This record gives sequence, C-alpha cells and structure tokens, in this order.
Amino acid sequence: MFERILIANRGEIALRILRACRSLGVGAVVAYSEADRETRAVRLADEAICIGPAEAKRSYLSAPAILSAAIVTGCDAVHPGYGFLSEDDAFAEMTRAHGLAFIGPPPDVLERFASKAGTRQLLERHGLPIVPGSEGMLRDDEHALAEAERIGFPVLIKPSAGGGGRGMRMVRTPRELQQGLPICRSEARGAFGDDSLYLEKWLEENRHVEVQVIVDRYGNGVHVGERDCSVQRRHQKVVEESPTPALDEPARRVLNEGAIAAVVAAGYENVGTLEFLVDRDGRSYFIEINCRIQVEHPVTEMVSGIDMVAEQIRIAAGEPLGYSQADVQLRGHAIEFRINAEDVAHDFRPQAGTVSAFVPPGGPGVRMDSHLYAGYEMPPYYDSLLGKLIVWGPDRPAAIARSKVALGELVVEGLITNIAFHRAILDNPAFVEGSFTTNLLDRVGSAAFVAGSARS
Amino acid sequence: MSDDDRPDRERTARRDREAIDRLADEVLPSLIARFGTSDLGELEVKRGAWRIRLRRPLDAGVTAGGGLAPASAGKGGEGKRPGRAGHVSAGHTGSASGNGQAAPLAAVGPGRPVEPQASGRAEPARLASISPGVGYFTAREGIAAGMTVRGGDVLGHVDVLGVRQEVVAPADGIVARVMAEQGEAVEYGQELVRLDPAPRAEPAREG
Repeated sequence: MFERILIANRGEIALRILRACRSLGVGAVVAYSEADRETRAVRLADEAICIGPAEAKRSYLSAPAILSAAIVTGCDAVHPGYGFLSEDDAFAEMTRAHGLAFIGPPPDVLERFASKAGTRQLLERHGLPIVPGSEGMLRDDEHALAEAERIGFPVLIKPSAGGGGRGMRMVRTPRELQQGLPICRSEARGAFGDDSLYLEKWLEENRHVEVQVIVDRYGNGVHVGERDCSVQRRHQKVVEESPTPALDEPARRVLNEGAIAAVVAAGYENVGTLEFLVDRDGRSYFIEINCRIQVEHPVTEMVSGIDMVAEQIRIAAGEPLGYSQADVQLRGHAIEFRINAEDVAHDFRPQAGTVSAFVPPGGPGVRMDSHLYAGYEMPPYYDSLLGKLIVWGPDRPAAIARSKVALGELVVEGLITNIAFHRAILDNPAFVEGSFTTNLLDRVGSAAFVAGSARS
Repeated sequence: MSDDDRPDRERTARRDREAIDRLADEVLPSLIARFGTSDLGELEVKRGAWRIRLRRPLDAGVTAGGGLAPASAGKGGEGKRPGRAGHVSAGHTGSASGNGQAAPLAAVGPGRPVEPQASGRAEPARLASISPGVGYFTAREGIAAGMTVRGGDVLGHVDVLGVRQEVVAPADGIVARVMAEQGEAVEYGQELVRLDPAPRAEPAREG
C-alpha cells in the first residue's frame, strides 16, 4: 500500500479522496490553487501545498506543478480525481516516469482506451453492441442512401473528423438525407478540412445507463451494477440513480455481465464506467468508457457498500480484488442530486459568492458529499458543483420519499442554487414513473419544466 | 425566454477571456519585468483593442506585488504551510503575474474602461520575493541580510521538476531575511526573501 497520496483535485472530490485515504490509514497531501486556500479539504488535511494560481492551466492542469508537489512532500502516488488530468495518458506516463503511482488505469491502458472510435471497435469485438452505423465512410449519395435504408431512418450524418456538433445532422427521410449530405460535407470541410462522412442510427428517446466495473491487475473483475443518468440538461447529468428503472432484472443482468466480460477481455484495469444508450425497446448500445472515478460514484456505493475510491487506491497499489461477483450484493435504490450554484431562472447561469449558511440534511439513508461550510467563498474559476446529495431507500418509491424530505431540509444560503429544480424533478410524472429520457429537459425547456412542476 | 442573446453574450465573453488570457500569457510577464526594473510610475501599452496599464502604487516600490501577488497572512503558525496568500484579486489577468512585481493592474476592454481595482488590503504591504512555483528553493550565492537589491534582480530560483524558475525582487530594497533554507521545499506563493524598502533618495514618482 502507498505511504502518502497527493490529492490533485479540488472541491467535494478532494474531500472524498481525503476521507478514503484516512480510512485506509494512508497519508494524504492536498494540492490546491491559490483560489482554493480556504476550501474544506485543505483545512482538514494533515498537509496541504499550494501548487499555483487560480487559473487551472497553471495549477490543477499543470503536470509539472502537481508532480513537483508530490515529490517535495514525499508522496508515492497521485490521485487525480475526476476532470482535469484524470484521463490524460501523458500525465499518467509522466507520473510513472517520476517514480510515482498514478491512481487510475496504467498509462498503456489509458492509451488503449483513449480514442472513442477505437474503444467502440475494441469492445464490439469483445461482444458489446454499438450504435448501428454505416460500414466505413460514405462514398457517394447512392451509397449513403443504401446504408441509411439498411440501418433504418432516422439516421445521424456525422463527420469522421472533429466533434462539437459541426457537420452533424439528423435526417428522417431519403429526401432529407439528400439535402443534408452536401451541407454536412461543406461544414465538415470548413471546420476540419476533411469532408468524409458516415451514418449512425439516431436513437430518439434514449436513456443513459452506465455500468460500474472494478478490475484488478490480475484480470479479476466485477461489475457493481448500473446507474441511470437520463436526467440531463444539455448533456450535463443532473440526477443519477441505481438501479435503472429502464430495464428489468434479466435485461440489467445481461447488460452488466456483458460489460464486465468485455472490459476484462480487453485488458482494462482499475475502476471504470462503461456508458450505454438504451433505446425505447430496451436495447443497449455501448458509447464510451470513462477511465476514472465519476461524480456519481456514491450512487453505486450506497447500493453496494463498496468504497469505490478505496478500491481505486488498492488496485493501483497492486492489491488483488479479493472478492468475486457473487460477493457483490446490490441492495435497495439510491438517487444522487447534483447541487449546483446556478440560476435556473436565468439559463442555469453559474454563480459565485459567499455561502452564508449551509445545513446538510440527515436521517436514514441520507448522505451529503460537500465541501461547503458557512462562510465558504465559492470561487468563479471552476465548476459550479456545491455538493452531492445521495439518498438510499429499500426501493425506488422509498428513496424518492426520503429524497423529498432531504431536499426540504437542505439549506444553502448566500448563493442561488438548483435545489428547487431538484424538487421539481421529484414531482415530475415522467421521473416518478421512471421513464425520463435524456432529451426530456431540453425538449420541454428547463424553465417550462419548473413552471409545469410548480403548478401540479 | 431570455435565451436568445445569451449565445452571443457567451461568445463575446469567451472571446474577451481568450484575449485576456493571451495578453496575460504573452505580453504581461515581460512587461511586468521591464516595468519592475524601470523608473516609470505608470506604463500603458495598446494591443489591438486592448490596453494594459501598469501603475506603481503611490507608496512607490513598497509593495508585495500590489494585490496581485500573494500577501503573507499566516495561518496559525503552521510551519508546513508557510506564506499563506490572500485571494487573487483580478481573475485571469491578475493571476497571470505570478512573479509579483506588478502594481495594481486593470485590463481595459474595448469601449468599457474599468477603473483599477483596489487591492482590498488596508495594512501596509510587506515587500517580499515570492515563490514562482512549487519545488526546491536555492538562494543566489551571496544573498544575505543587509544586501541592497534592485527591483527585477534575481535572488534565487525554485527547481520545479528540473526546471529553474527565477525568484525576483519585486522592487528596490534591502534584504531583511531569507525565509527559506537552501534546498528547502517551498510552495507556490510562499515568501522567500523579505525586503525592507530602500531608503528614499529621490521623491516618489507618480504617473
């Protein structure tokens, strides 16, 4: 096991990692930027070290600053948390080159799973279904039409290069396809200098379901069930839960067992998450893998009792998993609410300022992971996450009922938050019946959604 | 909904931020270094639609970076966390001047003049060279109490993963104390060499 771990992150996850280190009996040093001097993890830490100015590029994203801090404080491992450098294979490699352990997959594993397209091909070979698409690039309009008919409309025209929605278009008919192709071609050429296009099946009303896996260095792996993250706003997750209400028990077993078998066969290592889209008929399609701890990991911890961060650390230290799939018992239902400093009424504008009061909720099955305290000054430089409220119940209705109580108790003053928005979600019929889809919030419009919930 | 003009605003804000970042990265460091060693009270340069103005505080030269660089606030005398700094006062622009020689500074955007912000510290600032990074400190040979230094002088360096980053005097002064041992591990923003203000031979300059 490691002696001392440098925590190279901030906010609630820095605190979460600090707690895991302490419960494992491992020393921890919190690396922080000048803007995070008064953060809770820094205050609680036995040792903390300032690595740079507020600007992330020169602190949390600066590999030299982080590694230098680890070396001068006598650490033997670095925990990158999520975001920042957590999935950067070059950083992982640099960490190793300086004689330190990177807590996450080893650099060669990160590199193997770095390309989304490459990962899809790799895991498809190991049995995971992927979103149906054209065979290779489109040669001409005729080829495009034939492929679209084969996949089935609606389809998404996608450029081979780049991303961010440029050169991308959803078409429902052959006529729309013919009109769309030249537009996408010219957009793709303009944006990426490459006009090659391919087609992908458009999944209309989809759910986002992801499988949590843990794999040790020796090829022993387990899945820890799935999480449903279908409540999203502009591709940002808002609420996550486990198990998913989208699939029944046999379908969930197929999904989870397929996922763990595929990643073990593909040589994955450490904690990871496989993301799937699940269509209206319950068919799942693998889209990508996240090679790190995720924001929503507590949902899985609540139903499994497994400390995911501690597992990450143990496996990075070379310890064997030590238990089998049969030992992983999933119980009850858990829901996580991301509490953000954002103004829902003004297009979810991020807020900064001083927290004048903070009272976390309590009671059975209620957990609050947050770095807040009264007087905390929320800096404007980073994300707007104030904390996560996670609520467990023996079943989904019980978890929802407890969540309402907990959200009613939670007090954050001094900043505008999305707490009321979460209460609105709990009152939404689609959420209550478990049929929320990823496009629901954006289609309805978040403002209309809140107004609608307030009326009912 | 008021969503309509938001993408535009966001785009403008993003462009502004990028412009400020570029200025901060490319122009500011050399400008600050030159200003720090000059006799000028105020310096303004134009870059496209942006102006950068550096101004020496009225109390000329006696500043630990004029609110941009960390000021030592101390935290319960914990030796392992020395040189606790105050918050950076001016976002990207402010945080860009890590070597702490700048006077209060305001980047003036197109058509929107902004008054330089007060640094928010009432007490007289201490004059000190601060650490430009996290690593091992080495003082320049011969640096010792009583020695007279000029603003911009290199007083030592911090080794950040094998790369030397210079520790620079923020202004003219007399070395009061070297705050870190040779080879000691230091953090970003930590006070390394404390200076007393140079005796004033000439009247203070102003812009």
